[in-house]
Amino acid sequence: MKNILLIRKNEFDHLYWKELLNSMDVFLVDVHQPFHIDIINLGTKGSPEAEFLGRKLDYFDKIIFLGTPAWPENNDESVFAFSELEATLISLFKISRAPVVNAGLSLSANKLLQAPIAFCKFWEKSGWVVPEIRYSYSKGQLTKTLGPDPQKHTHYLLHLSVNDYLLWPNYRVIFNDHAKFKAILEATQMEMAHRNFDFLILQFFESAGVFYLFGYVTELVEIRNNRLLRFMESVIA
Amino acid sequence: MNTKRLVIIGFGSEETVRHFAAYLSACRQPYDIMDLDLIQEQCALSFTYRAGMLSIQINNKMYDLNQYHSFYCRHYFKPTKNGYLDELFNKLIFALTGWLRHTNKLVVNIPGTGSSNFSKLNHLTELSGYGFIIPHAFITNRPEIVKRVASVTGNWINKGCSSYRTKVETLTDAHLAELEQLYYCPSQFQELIRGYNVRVHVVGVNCIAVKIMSPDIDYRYSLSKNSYNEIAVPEKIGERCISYCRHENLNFAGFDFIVDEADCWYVLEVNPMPGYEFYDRNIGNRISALLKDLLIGGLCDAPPVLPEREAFIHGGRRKKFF
Repeated sequence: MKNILLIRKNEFDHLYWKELLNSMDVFLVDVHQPFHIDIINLGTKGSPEAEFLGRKLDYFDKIIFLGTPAWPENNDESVFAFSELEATLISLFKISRAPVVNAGLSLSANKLLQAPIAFCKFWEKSGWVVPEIRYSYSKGQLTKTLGPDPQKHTHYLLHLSVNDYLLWPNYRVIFNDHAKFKAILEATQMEMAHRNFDFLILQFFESAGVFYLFGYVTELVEIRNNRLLRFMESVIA
Repeated sequence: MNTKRLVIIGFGSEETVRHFAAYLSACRQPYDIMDLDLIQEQCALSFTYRAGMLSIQINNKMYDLNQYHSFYCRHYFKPTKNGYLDELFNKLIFALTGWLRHTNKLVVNIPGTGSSNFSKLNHLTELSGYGFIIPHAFITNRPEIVKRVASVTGNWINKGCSSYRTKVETLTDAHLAELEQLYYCPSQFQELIRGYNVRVHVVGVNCIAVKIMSPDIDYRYSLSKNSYNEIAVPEKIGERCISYCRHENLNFAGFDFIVDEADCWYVLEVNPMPGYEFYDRNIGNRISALLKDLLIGGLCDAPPVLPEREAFIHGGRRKKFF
């Protein structure tokens, strides 16, 4: 049985992840409060010593780091403490080379690198087309236009790991240009491996043989679905 | 449009932006400023991303990024207290990041490069991987660890672990009396290196160093009491700085060193978005001059001229048999 460390911002954050992991055959340690984390000695010399709810770091086979636990109060002290704890966790996981899932994303200290549009060329290099996006603010009004309009097409949610994929809502869908779709998937998977991404959840639609990518998300849908369970087990395995 | 036109992306009121803009004006070098201070409640702001092209309009000014030769970037999100506008401002920063990270044009600096600096301890260990000498440092939230490792007061300092700017202080008995607060939040402790500070700016393949003599442990808080002199960078230190910048894709960076009595250069951190104007004023704007040359002339393709190297078993100990 795998020992999994789940780190979340608070007890309500990413609950579906907790639910999904609870339904798997794993031993889950769910860390979501700052006091669950004990940084004993993390230094430039010697091995890092840290505990999560009393378990040492090397106890865990995989770490799913979805957010740094935050203090419940919102003031200068808690904001500073949150920043310090987050930097400490990133240092800990990088220095110890801990088995963090999606390390290429979740250990980006710079939050700018976690936004979908920050990877627009990454998507385009893989064969996706990022639809034209126009945002506008004037006289207190915010408008967003996308071309082509995604509302006129079926949206797909693509769970993608470096060697597997799952389509939502219809995993059996065959696109007119399915060979192109497969080529895009393979190119994306290669880029993912290069960037230390274990999985991505992409939102896309197809129009006239063009695959338009308009976002990626971290939410899991239909977590009781056996296919998703098997998919995520393969990611975490 | 001038093919060598550069644009500064940042806040017009920020001291570093003002300093560089004033220098360019004094040199009669054409430039634009994408002034993010103009993003306020009453503004009109829009941007369009299409097939690798990004155009941004702030009030009546349109910026087509593809038309610029080079970019000097000091942008980040700053809240405006208007929810809708903040949402768009955030998206604009992300879009700029995406575009600037992938354009073939010269960007100083590419957003996100050198961001290991945001996690100070990991940053130090990364720097040691480039051959720099680093001080011993550790993070803990256990008072007993600090008492055990750093009990000799006056020999250790305390600083923040993150990108927050915090005042560095020498660890004293007063600090030791408050160690229980570590249970609330971990903190970083670092071996005190006694000596003088040096700031090395790397601009492309050039290094400029300023020596700072200060009465305080954190010279940034006693600027008027300090003395500043330009000094030569030891060859090996310069090589490592340039090597680090090349690997990290940094075209412009500020390295902080402390040099001890034995002339050993300890690196403390590398700033990927250096606020350099203060040092520049003390050395006749030479950093600005190099920055302008870099943005107009581009990166030199040829590798920097490095000193000749000699193997550990030098020539006098070697004999060729064939």
